Amino acid sequence: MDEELGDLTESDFILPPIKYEYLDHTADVQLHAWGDSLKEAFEQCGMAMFAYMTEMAYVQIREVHTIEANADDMIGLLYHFLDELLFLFSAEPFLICKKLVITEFNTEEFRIVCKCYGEEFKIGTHPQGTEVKAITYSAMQIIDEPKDHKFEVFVIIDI
Amino acid sequence: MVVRSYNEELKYLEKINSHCWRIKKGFQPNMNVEGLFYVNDTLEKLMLEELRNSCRPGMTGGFLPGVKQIANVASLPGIVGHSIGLPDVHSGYGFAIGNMAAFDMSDPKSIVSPGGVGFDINCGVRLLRTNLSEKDVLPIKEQLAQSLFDHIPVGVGSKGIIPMNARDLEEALEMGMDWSLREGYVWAEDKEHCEEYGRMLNADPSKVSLRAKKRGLPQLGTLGAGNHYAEIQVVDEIFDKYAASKMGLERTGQVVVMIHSGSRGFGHQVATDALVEMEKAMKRDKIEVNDRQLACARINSVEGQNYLKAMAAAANFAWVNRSSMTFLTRQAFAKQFKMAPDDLDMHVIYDVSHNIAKIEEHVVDGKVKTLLVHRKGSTRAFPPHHPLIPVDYQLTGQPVLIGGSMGTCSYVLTGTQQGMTETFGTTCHGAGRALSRSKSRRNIDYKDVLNKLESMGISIRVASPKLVMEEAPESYKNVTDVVDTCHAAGISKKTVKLRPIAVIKG
Amino acid sequence: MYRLKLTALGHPNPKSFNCEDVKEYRSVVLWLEDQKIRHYKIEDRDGLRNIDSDNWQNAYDLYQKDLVSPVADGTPTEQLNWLLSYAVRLEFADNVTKYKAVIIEEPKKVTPNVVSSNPLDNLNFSSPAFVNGVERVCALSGIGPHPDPKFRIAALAKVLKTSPHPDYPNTEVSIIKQPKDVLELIFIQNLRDLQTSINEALVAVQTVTADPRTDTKLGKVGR
Repeated sequence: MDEELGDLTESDFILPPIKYEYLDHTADVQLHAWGDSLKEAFEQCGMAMFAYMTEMAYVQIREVHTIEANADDMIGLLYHFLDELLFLFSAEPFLICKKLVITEFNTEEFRIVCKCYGEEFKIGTHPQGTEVKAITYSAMQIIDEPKDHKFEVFVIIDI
Repeated sequence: MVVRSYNEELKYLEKINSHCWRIKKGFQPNMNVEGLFYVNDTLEKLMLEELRNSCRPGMTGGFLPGVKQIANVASLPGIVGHSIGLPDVHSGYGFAIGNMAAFDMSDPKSIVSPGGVGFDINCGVRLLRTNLSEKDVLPIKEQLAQSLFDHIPVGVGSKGIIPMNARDLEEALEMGMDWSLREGYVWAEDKEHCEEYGRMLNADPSKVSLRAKKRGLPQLGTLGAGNHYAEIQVVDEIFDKYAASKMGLERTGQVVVMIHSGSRGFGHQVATDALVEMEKAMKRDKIEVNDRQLACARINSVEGQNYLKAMAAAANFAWVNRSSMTFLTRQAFAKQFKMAPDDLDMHVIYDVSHNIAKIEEHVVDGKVKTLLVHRKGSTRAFPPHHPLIPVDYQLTGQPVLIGGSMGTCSYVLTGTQQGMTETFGTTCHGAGRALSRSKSRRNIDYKDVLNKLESMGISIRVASPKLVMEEAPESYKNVTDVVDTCHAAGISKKTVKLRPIAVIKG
Repeated sequence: MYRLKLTALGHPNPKSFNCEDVKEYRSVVLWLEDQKIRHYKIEDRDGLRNIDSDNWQNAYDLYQKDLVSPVADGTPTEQLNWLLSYAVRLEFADNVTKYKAVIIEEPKKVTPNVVSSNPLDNLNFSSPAFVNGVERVCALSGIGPHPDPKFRIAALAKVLKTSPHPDYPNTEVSIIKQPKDVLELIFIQNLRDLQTSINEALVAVQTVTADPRTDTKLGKVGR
């Protein structure tokens, strides 16, 4: 897949800091992500999900794919954004992402376009973590309080 | 939601006998029927503790406690009998895991709910017997475990090794185990010993999204991760000699193989798609429920029918999946013992579904009614002489396969007449989680778990070490407590106890 | 009814015979005496010949007594059934050598002799206990009489298979329970046979369609 590297520039290899954590939950796991903007919190949340599936240290950036998500409201947008990412992993191109960059974050028409950097998941290369079955709406929260500079999201993924 | 103190909440709960509690109307708003749940002393404490914690001020997020979820399900339109919590109940998405609820098909308001089935549609357990004894296996236990691991794709991101194209998938979705049979992956007798004979006839692949099919195709014939496993077990104790012999289990030490898996990404996507569709249908039909997670649609609506047809396709996917792994298991054993699988007597004892909704006939208030029975984390347990169970089990009742957690025992139960009347022929499905995953990871050390398993004489092959901690027995309710409760309550009968000697996990 | 026996005896129209019709019934009796049984001299058969006469019944009763029919007090159908069987026996006795030569092709037995563990196979069907048991259960379920209790139990099995099982009051449990259990066992045995035939058919189809394969290049297994 090295030919795909043609699309990648040096800055694409600069990794963002980690701004997510995994919270306690009986049967499933709750992702908690934050950032300097809601866009960043969304990106971080997506990366949190991927980091639950493998160990990120073993993942290299070799390919970039673009996904698009649409919804009727912000909660739905977060849901569909993550669902698209999960699909990217679950079927062709089986992409495990190390870095996500949202290039369009439309909070009026509820639309996201996101560049996903990573490589095809390969057993043997990538340690196997936990399988994510589905994204859920349960206890989903989006905290968007610019005046307090608080941008956080909470998502429970079914595993 | 009503905010009450723990003591006020307790007024709505009544212990009606040593193993059964009643949840009275009013515990949650709009309850159409009462709730019931089955516990013993140990499980009772866990259950009430969960409720007490949720009553503490400042509790937000996450799922409602299991008892609250059982009561919310009791408020769904068209429900009959009781909303029932089995002893392994724990909170899940909308419905609790370990919940059974039946809806009257003749009531136009009755609903079907994907949350009442779960994301892993037709997740279930299959048990294969062998004519081997523990002493035949012990010398080559490690090689046998490795051989299984070398045959069955496991863990996140794994892909199936049975060649399939898109057309094969369409046929498999429609035909279920008949597809596996036609292609020669299973034996004719295997089909006979599956719920529904391994095929739901109302499956309609055209009601399944392309997305689900794309997720499903590469994953067919894979075990998965999470609590899924393939285990080599031995018969540890026989409680009912006659029923056990009907299953071909004649002596302690006899070797069996248990496969616990479901419909993989295919089923997860079918459930996800349906939940999105139903959110819209609920607004249109003005169905009001206590909890947004209880997304549902009227059975007779387009969304309801589409879901049932897609769910049936996912159920078929799961049977083909377990059948493919049956094939791989037989190959692994055949290679190790240099004997044909039929000379090893590797017959399917039974195959149960513990995440499914089925149309069944039951007697309600003295009248025969057609019901849509949702079983989520609960297993069908039909009594002797029921027409829907295989001829070989007509006298014993349906075998019920209860998979334990990693390293603990598993059980085979049989269905009873009392269960048929009390719980619409339903019993528990497994251990049920007690500890959260992250708590497990924090409190339990990976090495300790492996050492402990080794000291118990259990070989383990696992794709993800992280899972070893999350799935450690300490994270689960004690399966023996769960099974003993079902036995004491009379909703199923203990037949055989199985002990693992090798585990393959995701 | 009686089509097989009438055909065997060479009756001109065995298919259309209606035993409910008095006239047809009587003429068949006469035909049997004239052509097959020939118990009376020709001139003594007048009582049976007057099939329109009111005295026919008396002649018939006497005729049965003379033949020592065991079902002389039975229903007309039982009586005729016996007459037909008697006629068949006489016909056979007259031509033993001819009928003995007839060979019925029996299907070859492929299965080896298996010692049955099924208690039903070792049951003595002529024991008084069995006969009485059948009598009781038939009386309760309304199955008509037949000299062979096995026939009656087969009839009962058919009835119970096709109609819903009746509820019975508790006092009758012991009377009903035992035969009910037996019938359930018979039912299960039949079902097993059916399932076995289905499996055999499936296996036959598999010889044409099955081609199981694996391709380890498609996914990674083991480590």
